[in-house]
Amino acid sequence: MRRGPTVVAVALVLLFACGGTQRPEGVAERWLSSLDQGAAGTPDRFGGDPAVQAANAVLPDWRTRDPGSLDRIEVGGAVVGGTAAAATADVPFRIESTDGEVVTGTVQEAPCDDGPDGGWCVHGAELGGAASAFDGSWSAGASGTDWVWAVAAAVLLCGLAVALLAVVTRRSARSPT
Amino acid sequence: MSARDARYRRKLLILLSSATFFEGYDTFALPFVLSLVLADLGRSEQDAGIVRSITALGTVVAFVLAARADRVGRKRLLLVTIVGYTVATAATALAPGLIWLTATQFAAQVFLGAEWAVAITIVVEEFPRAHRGRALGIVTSMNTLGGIFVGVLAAIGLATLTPIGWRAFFLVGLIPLVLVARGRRSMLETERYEAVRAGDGSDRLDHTSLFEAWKPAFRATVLAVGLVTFFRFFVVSAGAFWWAYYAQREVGMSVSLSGLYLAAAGLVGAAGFLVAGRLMDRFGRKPVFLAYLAGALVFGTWTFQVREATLMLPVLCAGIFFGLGSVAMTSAFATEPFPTYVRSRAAAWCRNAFEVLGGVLGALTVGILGDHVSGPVGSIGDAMSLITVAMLPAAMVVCWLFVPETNGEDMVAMDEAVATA
Repeated sequence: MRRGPTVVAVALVLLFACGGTQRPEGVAERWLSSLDQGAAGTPDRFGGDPAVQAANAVLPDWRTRDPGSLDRIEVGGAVVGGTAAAATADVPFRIESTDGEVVTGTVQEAPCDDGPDGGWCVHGAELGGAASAFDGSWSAGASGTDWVWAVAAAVLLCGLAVALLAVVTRRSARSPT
Repeated sequence: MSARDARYRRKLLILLSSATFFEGYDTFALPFVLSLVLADLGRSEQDAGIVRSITALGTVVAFVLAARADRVGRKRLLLVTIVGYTVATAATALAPGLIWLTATQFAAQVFLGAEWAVAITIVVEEFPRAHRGRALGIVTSMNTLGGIFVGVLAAIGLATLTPIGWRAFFLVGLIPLVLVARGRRSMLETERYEAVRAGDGSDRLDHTSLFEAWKPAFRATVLAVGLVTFFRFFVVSAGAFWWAYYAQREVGMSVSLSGLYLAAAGLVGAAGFLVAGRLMDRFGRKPVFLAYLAGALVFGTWTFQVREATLMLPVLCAGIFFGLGSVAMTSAFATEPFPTYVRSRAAAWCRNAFEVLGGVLGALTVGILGDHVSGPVGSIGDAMSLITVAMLPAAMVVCWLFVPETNGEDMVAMDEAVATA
């Protein structure tokens, strides 16, 4: 009787354990978002001084801007290159402020020296030239296997709910009111 | 002329609608003014996350208060919760710091959560069988309109129009007090509640235990309705929470355009409640609920797969119409199958225990799966579509097999059967 919950628990642990790899696109997006917080922004969290210098290159006035002044923050799929020992990732981006100002470019990332396993840090940024590299939509997503898992989860949930209610209904019918 | 004529019911509907309207209003007010609050009080986003978590717990605690309606009466509890909410929201407007604001918003959520449950119970007990669905549709639709009202006030710049800034949003919450002052004297205790309390068998019934709704006679129905509301709200609440983020970060829509879309879709969503109310009086609760959830499954999944702003609006409208509109039926499921002496407690279990839990877990699950840096799926849109596919069929199957049809349910006969059992 206890096997079902155990299997589900193990599956969940494996699911989240498999999700350990970091995406350079997500790091670039969070770094850009930190430039939209005004004085409260902390781009240094994404790579220390090089990340702050990159922030100054992309939005020189990021510290004095009003929070939420960026109307759009878009990042495209990363181009991962370099060697196994010295990997690099270039992430195209496009940001647009509420007053219509547009900045495009590429965020340059490399594995963090002291960050978590698989973590990417912002090392620099290059302005211009990235506007046509992507259409503004997010690049990562579910695989075909994920959709099969979702359908399997639906069947499992239906089965568990029906079994639980069948037992409760039967036992309630036997119990005195 | 009967004291409970059509005119009285219209006035009652206005009072009850104000309760659900301000539940929706308060849900959206804090998120809308959050950046202003943080700037004014000098706090961080991390603090904001803690505030959000603590205030959300208020809806769970509301369970205990909502269940009191079976003991103290519907009218008294409704008035207490409305006054309690207005005091809490006025105190929020006076907050000198984040701890005060957290405490007062927690209290506001406790009162609002209980207010919703007792308002639905009053509708079921005071409106004639043929019009119950329509009244439920109206009262539940006000929740969405309350949320839209926040957006309207934000759009006209309420925070900048007054010298008190973001605090003005919480003073708007004093409006229900005016309605209570006007409606307090003319409002009656529900006919069913009075009849049950005055009946011969009332002394034998347990009007106080929180677990009375779990006795064998009601257990399977409470569990079935609870699971239906859990699965449904798991998806609906996650969708409501994540859609704007998805539209802005994964589709490339601007903040202003996504706000406009959400307001337009919210209006269509309110129509979803009203249509549901009429349809469920005509065709029954279960068939209409199954049809709505089928619509939510198709359009909810599609909404989070759309990558074009032009296609987004009609698909989002349809998703909200079916997804949010289905709450008119779950409100009926949570109240109509139960006799009057235990109805509020059953509704409180279904709403404040199962539904709220689904809401918290749904948004959390999508956030973990779709996290852009480390999530296994890596896309909020795809994570949202996956959980829609995984959860909504379970709600449909449980409803189809285990939730009783209550269209035209005779409350008097149900109460008499319990009293003579």
